[in-house]
Amino acid sequence: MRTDIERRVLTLLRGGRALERADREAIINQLGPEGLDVLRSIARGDTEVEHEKLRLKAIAALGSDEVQPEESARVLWGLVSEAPPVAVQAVRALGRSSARPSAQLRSLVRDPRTPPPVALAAARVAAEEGGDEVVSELRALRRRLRAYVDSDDSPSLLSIDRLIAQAQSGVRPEGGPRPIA
Amino acid sequence: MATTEQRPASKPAEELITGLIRVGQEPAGSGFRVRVLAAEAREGEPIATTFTHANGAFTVVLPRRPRAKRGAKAEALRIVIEVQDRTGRTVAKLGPVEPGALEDAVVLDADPSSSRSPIPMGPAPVEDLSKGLGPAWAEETAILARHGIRRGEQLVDADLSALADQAGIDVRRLGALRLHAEMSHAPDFDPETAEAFASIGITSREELAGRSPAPLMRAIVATLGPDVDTRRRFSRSKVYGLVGFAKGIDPEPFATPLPVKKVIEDAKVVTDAVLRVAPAVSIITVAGLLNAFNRFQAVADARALMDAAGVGDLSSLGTFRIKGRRVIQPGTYVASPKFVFAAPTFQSDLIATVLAKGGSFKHLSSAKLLDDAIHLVPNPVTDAVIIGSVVEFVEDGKLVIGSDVTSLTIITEEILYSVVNEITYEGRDRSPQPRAPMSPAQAATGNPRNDRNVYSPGSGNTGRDGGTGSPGNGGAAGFGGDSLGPAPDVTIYVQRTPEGLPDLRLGGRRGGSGQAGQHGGAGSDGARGRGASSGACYCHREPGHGGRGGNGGRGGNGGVGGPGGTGSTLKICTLPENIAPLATGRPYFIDLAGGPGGNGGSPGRGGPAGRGGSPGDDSWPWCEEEPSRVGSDGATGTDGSVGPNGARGVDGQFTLQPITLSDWNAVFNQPWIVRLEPWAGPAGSVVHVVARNLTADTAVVLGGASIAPTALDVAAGTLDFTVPAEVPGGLRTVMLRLGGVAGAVYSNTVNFRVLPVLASLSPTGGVPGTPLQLTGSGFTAGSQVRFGSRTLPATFDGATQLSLTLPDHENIVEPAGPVTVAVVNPDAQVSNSLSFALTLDVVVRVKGWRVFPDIWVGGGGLFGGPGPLRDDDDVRDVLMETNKPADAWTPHRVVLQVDPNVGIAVVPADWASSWPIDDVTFAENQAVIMETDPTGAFRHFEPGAVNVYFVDDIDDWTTHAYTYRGSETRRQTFVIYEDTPLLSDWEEAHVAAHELGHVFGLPHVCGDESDVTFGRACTQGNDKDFLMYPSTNFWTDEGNTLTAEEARIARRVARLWHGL
Repeated sequence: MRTDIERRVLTLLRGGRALERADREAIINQLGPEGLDVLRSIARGDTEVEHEKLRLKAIAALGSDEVQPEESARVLWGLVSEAPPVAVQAVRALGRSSARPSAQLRSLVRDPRTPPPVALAAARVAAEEGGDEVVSELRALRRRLRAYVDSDDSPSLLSIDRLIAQAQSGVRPEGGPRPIA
Repeated sequence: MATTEQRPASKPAEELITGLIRVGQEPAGSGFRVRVLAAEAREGEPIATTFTHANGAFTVVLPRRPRAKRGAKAEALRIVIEVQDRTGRTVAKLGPVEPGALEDAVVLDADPSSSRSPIPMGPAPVEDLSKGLGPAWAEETAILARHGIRRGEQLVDADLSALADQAGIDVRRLGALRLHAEMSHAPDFDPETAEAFASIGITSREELAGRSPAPLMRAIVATLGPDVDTRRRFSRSKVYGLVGFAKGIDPEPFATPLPVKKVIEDAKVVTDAVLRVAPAVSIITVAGLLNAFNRFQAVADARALMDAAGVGDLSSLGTFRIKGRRVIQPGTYVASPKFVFAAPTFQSDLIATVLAKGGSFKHLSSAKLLDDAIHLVPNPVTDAVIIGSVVEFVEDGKLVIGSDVTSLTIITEEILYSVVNEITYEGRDRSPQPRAPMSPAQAATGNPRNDRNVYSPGSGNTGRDGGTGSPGNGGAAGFGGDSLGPAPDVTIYVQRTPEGLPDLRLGGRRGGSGQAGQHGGAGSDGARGRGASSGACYCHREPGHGGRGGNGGRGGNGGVGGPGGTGSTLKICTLPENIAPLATGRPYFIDLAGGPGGNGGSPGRGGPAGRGGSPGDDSWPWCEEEPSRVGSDGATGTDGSVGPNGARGVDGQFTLQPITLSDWNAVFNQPWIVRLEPWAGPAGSVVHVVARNLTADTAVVLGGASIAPTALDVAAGTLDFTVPAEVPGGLRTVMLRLGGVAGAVYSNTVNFRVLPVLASLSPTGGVPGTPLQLTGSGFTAGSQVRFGSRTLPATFDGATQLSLTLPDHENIVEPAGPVTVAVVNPDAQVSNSLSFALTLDVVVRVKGWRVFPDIWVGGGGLFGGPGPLRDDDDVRDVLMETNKPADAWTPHRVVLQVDPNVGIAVVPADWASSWPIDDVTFAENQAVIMETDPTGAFRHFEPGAVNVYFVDDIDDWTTHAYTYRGSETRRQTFVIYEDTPLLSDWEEAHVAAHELGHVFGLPHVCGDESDVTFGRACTQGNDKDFLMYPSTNFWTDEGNTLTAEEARIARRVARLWHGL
């Protein structure tokens, strides 16, 4: 039997709404500690949901937690060790979090045991910080991933090349209109 | 060069020389000047001159020589005959020879390749540029001097725009300087006048020469404002004169002093005489007509008529005689040459030549040989022209202008008449007949009151009186009288009128009488009285009296008389010295008064009275009877009134135009366009120009642009030019320019109509709203495009290009299929048409892709890793099967063309499983989606299609699809679609249709708080999180309708995928 707050959180996760990022963050934080607990529980897999998709959405939502960001970051960091797409979602959510564990995310980039999708997701967060060390770590990642693909123009490698350029210049690629849902 | 055949016998004392000029073996045309000089005085004035006729023939009369003194031997005259072509070149020469030794018909073969033309050059630019400029221009002239420009010719040859930039002078001021330098020969052309012309874009003499004075004045007023001085500086005659001077018309070489004061005094006597007859005649002021250009224009009109008839010189023609009542019919009467050639075929040859060449008429319907003239009748024409050296009224001759003629022009050196002669027109004394009288008005109808005019006994002792008869109807007023047309216009060019002029009876005709009024109707009779019936016990009866007869109706008034006809417009162009004889000659009579009004119609008579009714009967003879009586008769109706007389016609107009012999000579020495063949055509047309007084350096100025002739025959007076493609359509002025730009002289100005031609459309087909480019020639500002049944405004990009955007679906009107497209110019000329394939369906291609990572470690998925759970069939289901998104768009003419082959897209390892939304820029999204292979081809993106990428998941917790939109002008759009089990098939198709709505430009707008979709109510009026317009949350159960505005927006954006 679901509690009220569980039902409310699940309704939100089932989606069908197009929200600006700021609105999304506001709604998430309006859930309060109790609602955020439900989100974390779903993200950890402690609360059963009808589809894995809803767990992924709960993970994504935790990146916007401004009420208990450290608590949510700990949960997300725990999910990084899972398989993609859970780990990828967790890394992205950590990148958005106000309690972003930058050093730990960079360690994911450096660690050769990090699965490529997770390492790439972490590399995107690291590239925003920039600096020579990051550039060096991204180049190392590129060399590692090169072994998985046939050529240098594989999408993952091209994407890392763009991240290296971004980290070197400190300039994020030109933005553009945000997609609409 | 010349052939002379000696005649066996000596010529008579009357010395006439006749001959024929040939070019090659063909007779030369008109306009060759034949000069006879005394051999002993070759450099002096010729003793006689004449011009050739249309067939190249000429007749020249030598002046009588004084008789030799008795006993003295007459000195033999030896002459030289020189022939000059139309440009003044000497092309044939004969002599010295004695006139008596010449053959009856001298044949001279002209050499068409002679020396340069002696046509006088136009005025050269001022030598010193600063001449005539005040201190206001000191700065500009100083700057120009520093740039080495001190002479007017230097400025005329300069590129004004470049010079203005280089010298730092305002280009308009520079243009004014240039115009001033070129127009220094024109009186009163001061720098301010030049500046005014420059302000309306006229910065050269050539531009001014090519303008029509009247529109020019309008442009000046429009630009300089209503306060511009149109009384003096820019008066009508001044502007006309300036255009003339710009053409290079310069009477100086032929100058004859014009005694202005005396001309005005003499002219006043003449005009006063006209006013005595008709005080309301409008007189064109003589002072204004002294303007040089007006004088030239008057002569030019005569020249055009002479040219058209192939007449080169009046003096070579004979006398046109008015004997008896000579009625002039439409057409041109050319008096026969002074001397009838010994060769009997001469005149028939002349007629044959005129017929073959049409004279200079384009259409000549007939040519008849009369006793003293040739009558040429162009078709159609209502004008009459008489050309002869003398117009002579013989005895009581009367020149009567025929009823079909609306204007008569007489061109002659001299008019001879006696006091009984007159010029009038046919039917002048006639006035329209009044309409036939009407039948009397209707008599009174119906029975008198009480219906008692039928006898029937009464029921008592007393019979009732008969009823009074009804009055007759009044007569109607007569119709007004008719009016005949105005008197014909008359223009007379005459150098000498030794006795003045014959009477000119050119007043308007009397108006027709009004119709008579209608007679009144008759009144009806009174009724019979009723008789008395029984009355046994009291035998006393009173039968009724008869009724009174009805009154007759009133007669109608007569109709108003018709208005009188308008008097003639008379123009007399004559030499100043001839105005005095006109003024002081016998008191002649010029009647230009409006015709008197017609008489009013006569009145209608009153209708006859009705008779009184008979008395009632007495039924019982033995009874005592009161006497009964017959009713009295009605009164006769009163007569109507006489109709009022018609109004007097409008008085005519009188113009006395002084012209000088120098005007005459100057005009006949100007270059002159006789006609263009054809007068209209598209760009690329070769136009043949028949002209006079050409030189080897003749250029055509068409619409302000100089064109070199493609062929030029100076001797024949013809040239050809090709209409350039860049000339705008419509009427364009054509002038000839002789000589260089500096010092050039310009011809008269005629018009050539440039017709539009449509060569191509780009594109040749498309949907409503398509931008369309039309290429061709002859387009002009204001050109429109006829698209099927509609005419649409277009943007004028140049004479060869128009552009427009077709109306949207809502306004296109035309059905799908081929639509004819043509260009319509403001002068109503329509081009040929081309076909445009109109398609109403906006076709949008849609391509689906399944997205996979390029790296995956751990097995599974297409590449050993995860991807969307959907297979190709699932993707096709979403896009194409039941509840397909196309159902929402097809009714609005947006047709989805889904590619059934689903593609594979390979993306970075972290994107396939979860597509990032907020954390990645659009640039990165584009880089991933529009990735290219080494050949530059997209790996997984189809240009021109809406690409829909099906991914495993989207990194968001609220939505299942996102649309990425590029710029408006280059819309590279794609849709990321989540593989989610949270949506039903119905909802998935709904989401797909919704995302396409975004693709087609529709945003999220919340319209109504009652709107519900995906279980969510619209919470506020402008809920940006809501799905599009409420009505585009389309599915059948939500009201699957787009508003007209939504459909319009969607189609407009969707056209971009149609390749437009």
